[in-house]
Amino acid sequence: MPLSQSEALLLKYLEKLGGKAEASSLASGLKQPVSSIFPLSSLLAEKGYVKTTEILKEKFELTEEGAYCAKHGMPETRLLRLLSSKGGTAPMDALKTALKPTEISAALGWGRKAGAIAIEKRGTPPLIVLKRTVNIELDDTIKKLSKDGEKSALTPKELELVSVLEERGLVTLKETKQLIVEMIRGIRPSGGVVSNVLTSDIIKSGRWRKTTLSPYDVTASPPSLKIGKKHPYLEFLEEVKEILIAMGFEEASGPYAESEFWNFDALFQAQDHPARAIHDSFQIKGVEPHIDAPEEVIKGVKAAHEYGGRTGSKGWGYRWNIEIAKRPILRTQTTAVSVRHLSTHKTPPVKAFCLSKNFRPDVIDSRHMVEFCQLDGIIGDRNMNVRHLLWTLKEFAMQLGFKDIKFTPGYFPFTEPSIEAYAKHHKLGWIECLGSGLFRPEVLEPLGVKFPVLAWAFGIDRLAMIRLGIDDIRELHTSNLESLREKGWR
Amino acid sequence: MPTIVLNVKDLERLIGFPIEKEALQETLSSLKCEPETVTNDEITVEVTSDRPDLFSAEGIARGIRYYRSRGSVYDVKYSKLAPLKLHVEQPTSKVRPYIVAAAIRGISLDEEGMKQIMQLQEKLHTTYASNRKKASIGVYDLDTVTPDFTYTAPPPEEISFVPLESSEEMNGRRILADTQKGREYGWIISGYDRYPLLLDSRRKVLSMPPIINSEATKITEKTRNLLIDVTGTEEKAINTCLNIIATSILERGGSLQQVYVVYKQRTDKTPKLEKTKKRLPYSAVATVSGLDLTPREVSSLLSRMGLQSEAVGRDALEVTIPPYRLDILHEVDLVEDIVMAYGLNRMVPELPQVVTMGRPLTGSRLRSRIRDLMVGMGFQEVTTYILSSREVLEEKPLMHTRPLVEIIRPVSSEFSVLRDALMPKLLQFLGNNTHYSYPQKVFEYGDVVRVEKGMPPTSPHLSVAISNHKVSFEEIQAVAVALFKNLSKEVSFEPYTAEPFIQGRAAKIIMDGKYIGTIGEISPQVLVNFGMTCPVGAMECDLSSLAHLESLFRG
Repeated sequence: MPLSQSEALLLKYLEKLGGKAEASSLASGLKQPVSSIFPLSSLLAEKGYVKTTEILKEKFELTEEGAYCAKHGMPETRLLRLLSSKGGTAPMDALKTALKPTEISAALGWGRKAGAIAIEKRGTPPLIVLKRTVNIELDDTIKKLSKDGEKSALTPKELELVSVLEERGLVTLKETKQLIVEMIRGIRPSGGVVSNVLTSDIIKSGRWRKTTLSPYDVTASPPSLKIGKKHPYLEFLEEVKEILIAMGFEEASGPYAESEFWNFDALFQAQDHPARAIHDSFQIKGVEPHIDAPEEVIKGVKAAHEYGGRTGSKGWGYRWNIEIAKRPILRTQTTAVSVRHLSTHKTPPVKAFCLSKNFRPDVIDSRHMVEFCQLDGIIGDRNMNVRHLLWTLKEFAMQLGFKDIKFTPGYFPFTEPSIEAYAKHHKLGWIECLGSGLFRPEVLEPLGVKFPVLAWAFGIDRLAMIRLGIDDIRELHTSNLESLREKGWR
Repeated sequence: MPTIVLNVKDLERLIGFPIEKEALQETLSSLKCEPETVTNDEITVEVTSDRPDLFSAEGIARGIRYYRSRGSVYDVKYSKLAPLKLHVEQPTSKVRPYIVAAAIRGISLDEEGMKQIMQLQEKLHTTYASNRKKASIGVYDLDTVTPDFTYTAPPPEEISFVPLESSEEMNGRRILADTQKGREYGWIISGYDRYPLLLDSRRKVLSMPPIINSEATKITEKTRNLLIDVTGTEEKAINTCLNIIATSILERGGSLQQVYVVYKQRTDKTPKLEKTKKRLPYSAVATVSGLDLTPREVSSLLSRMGLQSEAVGRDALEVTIPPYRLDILHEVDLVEDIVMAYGLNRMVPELPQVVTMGRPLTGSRLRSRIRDLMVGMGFQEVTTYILSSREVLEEKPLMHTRPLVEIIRPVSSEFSVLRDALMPKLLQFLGNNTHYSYPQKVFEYGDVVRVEKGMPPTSPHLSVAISNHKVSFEEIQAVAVALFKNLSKEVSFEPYTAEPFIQGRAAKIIMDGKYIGTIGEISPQVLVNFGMTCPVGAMECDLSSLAHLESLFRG
């Protein structure tokens, strides 16, 4: 039968003690609590290495008073000590320095009975006079008991004295169970010396030849290890990026602090569009109002808004205000990066994506956060149409591991036709996850883009939550180190 | 996106024929009315904001009727009565200059009909009317008043009428102060010394726009003739609202009587419900949708969306757009209708044969290497928000006040500036985790935004922190040296004195003669500020200058 490390240790120590010992002495020798010796011994007994016997033991234990006397001497001893230190006499009230009030009368009574003292009552306070010194056996007895109170170890004479102590309430008799562990002769782990740890000393010295390496309980849990890991949310975003790069998309980026021009106007969102109300985007200070776009792009956007420009559109029919377009805000949609990218990539084909942060004022709760990730993608080339868009969305959904995709018409100010999609999750069913469409001519014409552009945006945080099995969006940026340490790859 | 509550019986009555429940839901979904909740009596749909004609049961029923009966001709039924008159007086020009109106004769509204009109008004107010500021709609029982009407603006003290749901007469100021609507919308006019008022020929008050109507003119189930007005600050918005509300109510019956709105300089006849025409080349349909359709198919699909069309020559159609379709700006908007009528889920997806190179952002390879090295050294990656606060970036780490990109109206002070450093964010992170086991070794690789002239640039930073019962400068310095050594870069250290570090235990990190970051032991005051009782060694580097390490083969 293989032995665990701790079983082997116990057995080895038991052998050292001569093959038989009490659980308490094993415990103190192995520096383990007695409570852990019991189960180990019974395991060893089950495996047939030892037998265990339970015996009842009687033991004297000191009471609180008794412990005090064991340490400082019996009251009578302290009385005689006091008297001799004062030259043989002491007034009654001096006794307080050596004796507790409860001990005084007992000590005086004993002293007179033994002829050791006399009390002279003539004066006030009365005087105590030392007559002769007496050896006080009780002192030795109580000291002995404080070390070992086992009844069977006491002589009859000692037992007599102990009964006096018992009467005076200084000791009590307690019964305890003791476990005797005894090695069964002839049965021991094979080999010579049992060792737990294989050290380089054992190898170098050649001692390993005579050493049996004790078996371990390989089913027990090891200590937990805190390892270095990448962040699971960022890992998911990396996985998504890899899919897109494999599909031939180039990654694009843009500034977090953006002008309303690129965030809204270039996307044909009218300046009085509800999404442009001051409570739907974060206006910022510390940034100079500015539009980093060529003059003709700005003019084209203005014309598209006012009357459609050269696109054949009616436009929104209002006076476009450049001052509103200049206002600096925090980007609310990564679609801003898509149009910025198009403005500098006007030769087809263009395939790009941006997976980055956006910011929107919102009531912060388990589903809404003011800072969130969005994934935007575009495919621009001659002859791109709705069917190409559907293929791209379907393929990407399949690559992400969804089972199916379905489409419904939608509305976005910058795409027409506009399409929303639901992806089918094997457990959660249909999940509304993306918006898409073909960029409107009013978006493309001012940028000088002369080919159709498919565009789509995923609410990637929603997918990340499903992927990571969390139901509070704030956990994507958890501030809990332990949850990151514990998180597995799922 | 507005959500609209529909009564199923009412909807069926408006459609004119019964529809199976499932077919109804599918049709709704094909018409940009996504069903949210469905019970036996009620359906709640989410509609898109570009289609105000779908903001009530009437318009939705019209859409379903066309879609399922494969087309019909839209016409407005006009009353034979001569147009009513509404005079606009000068003082309104300062407070709320524009008004349009319409009357509907011979209509009967049940409870659900009135509910739908209220819902439509509310949805128009919140989407197209900036909460009544740009436009506000009033609907009255025409038989309780006497034409002609006058739109004027007297001082509020001179106004006196019983507002809706009240029992006593009030003046203008009391209405703003004492009625619920007054408190809700009073801000729109309270700054003016005259309030807008709509009166009949006997000076009876119809309403005080945009706040409240009078109790005496309210509509009931007994009402047979309606007057509708829309006042506002923008002509386009008030025409949109009147147009939508008039065409919607007309779906319940009755005929339209127009109104002359007489300004000093001009007279308008409202509502203007003209149909418009738009040319649609077949090639545009094919190019955008990718569908190969015959002219007849195109025409039939358009009619399912309530759009009549006629061939003009061999290459194009002329599409007649009914007055309630305010969303059609361009021919692509017509193509969308064709795609919707065809059915998106019937379309065959097609692989786009576009040959391009997939490529990650410049810096991705370096980022990935550095993250691998940090993980190899046993560090846990964390990702904190880019939004932060001056408290975290300046006050707690005792770092000096500096220009930051700052939100003017933050939702919470915790998220009020863009971070320009990562180390304070890591200290904040560690401060949140003092009850977990040590050592704690964390790093973040992320963007920071500095304020410079022009658009604030974004740069990639790395910050690393070790916290334990004992941490020495050497420990964090060893990490920096190992990191850069593994990037084949040597760094040197120069003594540096500044918060958040302990004086004499901090250094500047120098690479290729350039200062790229700081490293050191965090001072006890800073640790206490972040709620920590264990020491921390930390570093932060700007990695922009390492971009050249991207290239696989470099000189």
